[in-house]
Amino acid sequence: MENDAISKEMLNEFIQVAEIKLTDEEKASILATMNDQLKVIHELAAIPVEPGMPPVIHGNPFPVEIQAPLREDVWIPFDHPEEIVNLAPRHRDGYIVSPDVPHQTLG
Amino acid sequence: MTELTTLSAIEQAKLIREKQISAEELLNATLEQVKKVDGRSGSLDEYIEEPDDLKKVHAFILMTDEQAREKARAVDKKVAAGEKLSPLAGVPYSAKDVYCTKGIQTSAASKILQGYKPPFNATVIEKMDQAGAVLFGKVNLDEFTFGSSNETTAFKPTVRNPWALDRVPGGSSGGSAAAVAANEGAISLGTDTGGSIREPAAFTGVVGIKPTYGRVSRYGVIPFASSMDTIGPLTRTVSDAALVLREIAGFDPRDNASGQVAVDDYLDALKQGVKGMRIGISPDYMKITYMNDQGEYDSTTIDPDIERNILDAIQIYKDLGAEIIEDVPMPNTRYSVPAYFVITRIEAYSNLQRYDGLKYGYTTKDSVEDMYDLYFKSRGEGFGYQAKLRLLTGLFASQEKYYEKYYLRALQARGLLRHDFDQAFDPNGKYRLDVLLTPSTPTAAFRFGGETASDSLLMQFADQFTSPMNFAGTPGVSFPSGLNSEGLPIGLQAAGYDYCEAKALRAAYAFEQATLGADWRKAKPVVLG
Amino acid sequence: MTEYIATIGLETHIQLNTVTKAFCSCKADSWGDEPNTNICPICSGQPGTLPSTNKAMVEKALMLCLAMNSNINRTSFFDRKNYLYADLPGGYQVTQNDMPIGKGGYLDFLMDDGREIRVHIDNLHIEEDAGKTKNDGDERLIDMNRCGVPLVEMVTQPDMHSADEAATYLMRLRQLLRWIGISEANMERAHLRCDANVSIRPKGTDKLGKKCEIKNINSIEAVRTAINFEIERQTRELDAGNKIEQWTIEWDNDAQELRKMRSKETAADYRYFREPNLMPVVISDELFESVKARMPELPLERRARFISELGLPEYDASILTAERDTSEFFEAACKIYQSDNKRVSNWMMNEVLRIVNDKGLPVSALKITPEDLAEVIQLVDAKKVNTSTGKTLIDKVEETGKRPAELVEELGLGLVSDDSEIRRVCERIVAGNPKEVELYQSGKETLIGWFVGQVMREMRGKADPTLTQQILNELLKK
Repeated sequence: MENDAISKEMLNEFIQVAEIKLTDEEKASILATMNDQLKVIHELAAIPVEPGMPPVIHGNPFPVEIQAPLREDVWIPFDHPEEIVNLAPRHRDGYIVSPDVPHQTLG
Repeated sequence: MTELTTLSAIEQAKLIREKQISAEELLNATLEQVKKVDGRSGSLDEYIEEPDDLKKVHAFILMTDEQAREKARAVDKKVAAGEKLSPLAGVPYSAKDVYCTKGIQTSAASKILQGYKPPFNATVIEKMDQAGAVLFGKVNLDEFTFGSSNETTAFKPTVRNPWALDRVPGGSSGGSAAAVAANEGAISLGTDTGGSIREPAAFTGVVGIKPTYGRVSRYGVIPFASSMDTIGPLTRTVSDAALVLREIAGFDPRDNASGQVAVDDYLDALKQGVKGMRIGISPDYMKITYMNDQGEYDSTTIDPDIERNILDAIQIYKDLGAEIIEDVPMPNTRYSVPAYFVITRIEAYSNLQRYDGLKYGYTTKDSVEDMYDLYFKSRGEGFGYQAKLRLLTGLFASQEKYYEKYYLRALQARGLLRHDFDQAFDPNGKYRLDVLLTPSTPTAAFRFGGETASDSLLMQFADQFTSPMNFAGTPGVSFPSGLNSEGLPIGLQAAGYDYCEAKALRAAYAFEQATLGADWRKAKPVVLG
Repeated sequence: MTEYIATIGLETHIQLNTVTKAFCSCKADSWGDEPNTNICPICSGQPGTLPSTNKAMVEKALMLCLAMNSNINRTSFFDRKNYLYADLPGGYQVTQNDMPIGKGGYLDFLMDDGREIRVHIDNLHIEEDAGKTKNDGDERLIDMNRCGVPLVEMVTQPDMHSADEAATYLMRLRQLLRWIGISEANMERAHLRCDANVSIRPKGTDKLGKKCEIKNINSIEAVRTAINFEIERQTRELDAGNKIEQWTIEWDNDAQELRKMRSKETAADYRYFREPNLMPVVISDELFESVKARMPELPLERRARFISELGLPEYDASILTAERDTSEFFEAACKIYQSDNKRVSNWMMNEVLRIVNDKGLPVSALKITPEDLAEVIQLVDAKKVNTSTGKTLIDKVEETGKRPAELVEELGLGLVSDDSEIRRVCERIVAGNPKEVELYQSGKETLIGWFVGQVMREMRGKADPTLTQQILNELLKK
């Protein structure tokens, strides 16, 4: 279990996937804390679950009688879609604007 | 005038209905009280501590005076016209700043949502509006509700406990708890994912209810862990909690995980008392269980004052005619910590994905190379430390290669823990409980930056008696039950079974009514002194 | 030179033709709408919003499962597929990962050369679409109108071995989707999109090569071109002694070229987990039966029945079952006509489908009805009109929307079978052409056709040709 320990390189990879820039201090502190918290995660191993036990997504059950019905397919337009666009830090001609995503052409 | 702010919501509503006061008068009194005790509001500006900051509560991060005044005047017009009034007509309330409020800043106490004004209302905000209540401000919390002390907020100064200003108000609904305790409104809406309503309620001597998962719509409330988040009120009286819950509960087609179950009249149910009620006590809720460095389970006692407090409470319940069922086993409680940890981190990681610096809120001022660089910088600058930590831990634990080892296992453990509740509350089982009585927290409010606050692992233990209910999806009410030897409030939790909030509230109410004349009730928060 | 075998699997994204989006009440189709005008707090990823599952989406996905002979999970689950991209407002896509609505199944179809192909389906799952982005200089413009549009993603097994097979699969799938009415399947409007997994291996070897995924191929032609390009590229690489790397490649239809996507978008662990905001999709017996009852007979079944029950040749059966409304029109006409089905087929293929092609409309949008077609054929049979008038009549019906008999009356198109009137004209023709009569009588009997023609011209085609010939023979042999 202990071999799951998180290395600097792994943290750097997580940071890339998470898209979160960290300062060096944050990196050091978060790495230490995460490794410390791994102990808690590893307590899972001691839980006597049997293979095939169903995963429980919500603690209390939702029998069909109380479950929300499927939504009827009826169009209800949102009044002010422009308000949503106007929330964007950058928008133009009704579009939200993002810097480009680079790509490479194959010969 | 300030007298008005000490009243319960029910009393306030009654005075308005009887035309003894106007809604606007009550609003003014409430705003006056905020001015008196709250100090400067939390903000994202660079924080430099001033001496006065240490003497104030700082529950609020935004006042909505204008909208509130408009609503109060509308209520007053209705009163004047002799129209039928809704149950909470004219009663001011605040909401934790995770409730989306149309056109009104909603921050989740994070810089990443800087300036965000949602184009819609949370369902519960609409229900409160229909009930006639007046939203007058939004209160501080741990960033994205990640914490039990309110210290992780990006909005400084942080909230202080009105009973002891050097102590935390609890969290994450610390702003709600502190506001209500300091008479800054009789009602505040909070959220509870692992104890975030009940723990601060206990720390500040107020009532807080975490309903059954699915009882109150989550639509429009910024999530922490979607499979456990619940919505509920913090109030000073059990009756107020019952009334507000009645007004906000119910199936909502916009929340697919809300249940189609009829809403009880919780207020009416209170009168039924606890005579004959089966109230259980579990040894597993009278100690803290944890895994020691050798990988063995160890336990430590809870604060002796809290232990004494629950024993006294048991005597009170016996005197009221309740049947006390001792030694109810809840052995899987100990597993809730690691399983809760993994599930909440994974869900939180995913729930934080949408804050990208493109659609709303904060975006980096730095130059960027491409879209990914914009994400990288905006998220890096916008999220606080605890959010980053939880997000990255969730990202680690949710790796596909660990699915069975971590996530699946945690979900299976959830089944075990749920089983404890099923057994304890089974109407045909051995224990047949109506209510499980537990301490709300293992200790009273701790100091800022203290032993618990600095270590987020230990902070989890603050949740050990509350997070199992989020795990199981069952309801729990925390209610004030006395003071510890340092004069700090402590609380008990009446936990119930699925959709049995009425029973839990009945138990809380019976205790409250039986102890109305108790000496400890005469003590008041220092800020009110 | 080494010869290679290509192996191709397709992932198709099928846009369901529901009224609203998958998880919110915005309308599903935004064709022609201004950017970001068909969005709401839910599909634009506002914090705190929650999804709710569209019933029609579930029903349509279920229909597709039935049509593809899939095993249906009566309880299926939604999961989150986590990744960050500008077109995904929530930061995760709601999809179905390990418990999708349909598992397994197959689609049988015929290639033009008559080969029968069975493509196996791995799974069918419901998911929400992402938004659209487009380049504008060094910026990307985001339009969220398409965010949350309901899709079924259907993943095939690697059962195809040429671009042509892949293209034909896609055509047959398109036909099926329209047939069961769950998607407009218009590729130009991206109702049907396709990613292709392509690998090659030397002939005679078993081990599949490393595959590349081509994304974003959005027409039948593009499927052919892009897959062929990729097979050629991989062949070049292997021939040059290089290894194939597992890439994700984007098809740029405007430039007609393949582009490698930045590795960030390809090296993905999506960290799937159950979407806690959604209850599982439970297909009750009631829902299942009601959807099943709405399922039409499928194209291949109908084709087989047209051959066995209606006695059509395979060719006719294929043509007439290419579209559901064509087959229904045809069958309805047969039921009214109640005689030679092949005769109806000929009229259908030659005349009705001619109009369909000319007008570019589906059969169901024509004015002509199966009753009209049957009536026209019956008029020809009864010699009320001749064949060429019958054809004209079909056009007239389509033009005016009037019933054939009514038009015959109105326009005076009826055949004259009155013996005396035809006899009068015949006598006049015989009397007026002594030279031809002489030639005929001297043995050039083929001239009879010329005489019939003359009579017809005189009577503007309304004479019963058999009767005319009879009378002429009688007069000429005197």
